[in-house]
Amino acid sequence: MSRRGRRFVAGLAAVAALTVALPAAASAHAYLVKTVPAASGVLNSPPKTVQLTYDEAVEPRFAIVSVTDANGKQETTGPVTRSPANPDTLVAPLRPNLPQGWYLIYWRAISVDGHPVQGAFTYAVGPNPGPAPQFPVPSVGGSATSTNLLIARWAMFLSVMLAFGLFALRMLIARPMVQRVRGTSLRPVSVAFVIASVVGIVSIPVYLDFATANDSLRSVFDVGALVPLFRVTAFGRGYTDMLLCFGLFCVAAWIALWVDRPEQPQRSIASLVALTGALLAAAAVLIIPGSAGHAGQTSPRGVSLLMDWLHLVSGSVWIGGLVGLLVLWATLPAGLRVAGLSVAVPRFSGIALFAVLTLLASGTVATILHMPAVNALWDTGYGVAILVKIGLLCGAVALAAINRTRSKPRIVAGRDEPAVGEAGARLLRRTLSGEAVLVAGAIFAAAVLSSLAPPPPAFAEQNSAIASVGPGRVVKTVRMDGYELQVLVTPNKAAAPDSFALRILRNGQPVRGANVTLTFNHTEMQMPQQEYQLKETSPGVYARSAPALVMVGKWALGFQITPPAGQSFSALILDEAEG
Amino acid sequence: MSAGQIRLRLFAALVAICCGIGALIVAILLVRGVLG
Repeated sequence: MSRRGRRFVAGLAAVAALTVALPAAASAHAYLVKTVPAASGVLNSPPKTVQLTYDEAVEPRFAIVSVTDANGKQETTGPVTRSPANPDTLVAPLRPNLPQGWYLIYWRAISVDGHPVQGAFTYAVGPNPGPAPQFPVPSVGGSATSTNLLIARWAMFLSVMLAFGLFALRMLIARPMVQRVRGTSLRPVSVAFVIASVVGIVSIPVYLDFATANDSLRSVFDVGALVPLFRVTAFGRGYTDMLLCFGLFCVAAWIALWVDRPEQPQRSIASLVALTGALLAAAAVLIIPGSAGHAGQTSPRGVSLLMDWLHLVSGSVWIGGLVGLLVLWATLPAGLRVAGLSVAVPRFSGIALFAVLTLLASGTVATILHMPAVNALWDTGYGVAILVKIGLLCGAVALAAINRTRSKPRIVAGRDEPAVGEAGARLLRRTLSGEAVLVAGAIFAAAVLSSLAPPPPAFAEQNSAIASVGPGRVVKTVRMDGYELQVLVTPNKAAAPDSFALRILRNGQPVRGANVTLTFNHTEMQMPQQEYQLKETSPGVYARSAPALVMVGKWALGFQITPPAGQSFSALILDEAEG
Repeated sequence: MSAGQIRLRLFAALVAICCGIGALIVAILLVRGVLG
């Protein structure tokens, strides 16, 4: 097996071992909290089943439990089921009378927010299983960010947001244009809205089909098998509810368009009632993506959901308004273009400014809630996606500023000076096009962002580390509070029984009788914390051997030291472990 | 506009507001489930 393959096996085994060994933490992702048989255990008789207990109820139809021997032979005999005794436990039946030897259990499950989680561990059937072999790992996909899925997610968000924005432009922003400029019509905007809403109605189930196919490892064309699975996860239920609500919005909005008479200055009762219904439905739809995604799993949840909703509402008004104005630009008669735009553009400009400010404020708050530290913005994939999105939005805001300061005044002046108005309209078309492309790009970045797992809170710990060590054997001396601390980690490899030692000196003399505990937190993945008590093995040297670095990557090693005389203190070392 | 047309539009508007309230109820139930 290649070095990369070995690291992968070590990583999988490590995640499972850690999650088995430690209690569950509150998280967006499912944690394995108990297994039967126990990880790395040696049994005297072969088990009849494998039982995996999680900290939340995971769906057995989306779960994979593979049990293989050293030759890669599959030993399960049937599908994964839910334990009748405990809904959080999955059960996989095994071939009876398994021979002595080592077995690899690989599992994969879908968390509440739709993200796949996976892990692996070994057990042995004894009494003489022999040495543990190097296992081949089953080949299965585990990503929530495949290209097809990302494009489907982007198309869904773009069409749904466009539909809301175009509806707002048609019904609330550009409506007075028809009364003030005779001969103009909003029909093209209505047609664009109907197209966007139809694409939205199609794109939501298509995305759900892609996501369900990805989660259940089926083909996207296996629709007959996928549709019954749509509502078995909280994520799927959220998006089927979104489809229902978006369908209700479309009915209400199409009725609102039908009963509205923009040439009449006052709306009729029927128009007002239908418009209210459509706006209520739009507000309802836009709360759902957050409820089914990260916002619904990020504390404080109420604030996260509100920020996500405001972000989507303001983004919808912005992108829909831009596209709607481009449609107006293209479809207004040449002689009426400047006059028509001189009504619609200033009205949109004021609302768009408010929408952009709301978008930036809600995005900033959401970023603060999701980011455990500032450097997570450039040190994690999630943070980089946020930076790309911010960059695209900054470009769009710059173009919006040109529109507000250059295009709009020229178009308004065009009522008296047609030549100035024409120049303003030409500039408007170019900047609107660029702005729309950049906002659509930002929505793609948002689709990537919502497909990635945010960095764990332990990420912030690395910023308070007094030293960075590894990879490889560690011998590092640091001074702190008048103490000299020598840290030793051998061999500093993931998924291996590493030795951790701390020599404590004060004024060159060993500090005896101290109480030393060592905590382990992975800074790149959300895992429960491990804690070990170190024993004094020689004067002033506190040590312990443990398979604590269960996965490759950066670990925050936190030494809590309480000397027999003096204040207790802590020292955090950032250690990189390799496979 | 005839009385029949006005009644038809009012009926359609009622359908629209019912759609809006229905969507709102679905979303509230979903959010309530998330917030616990």
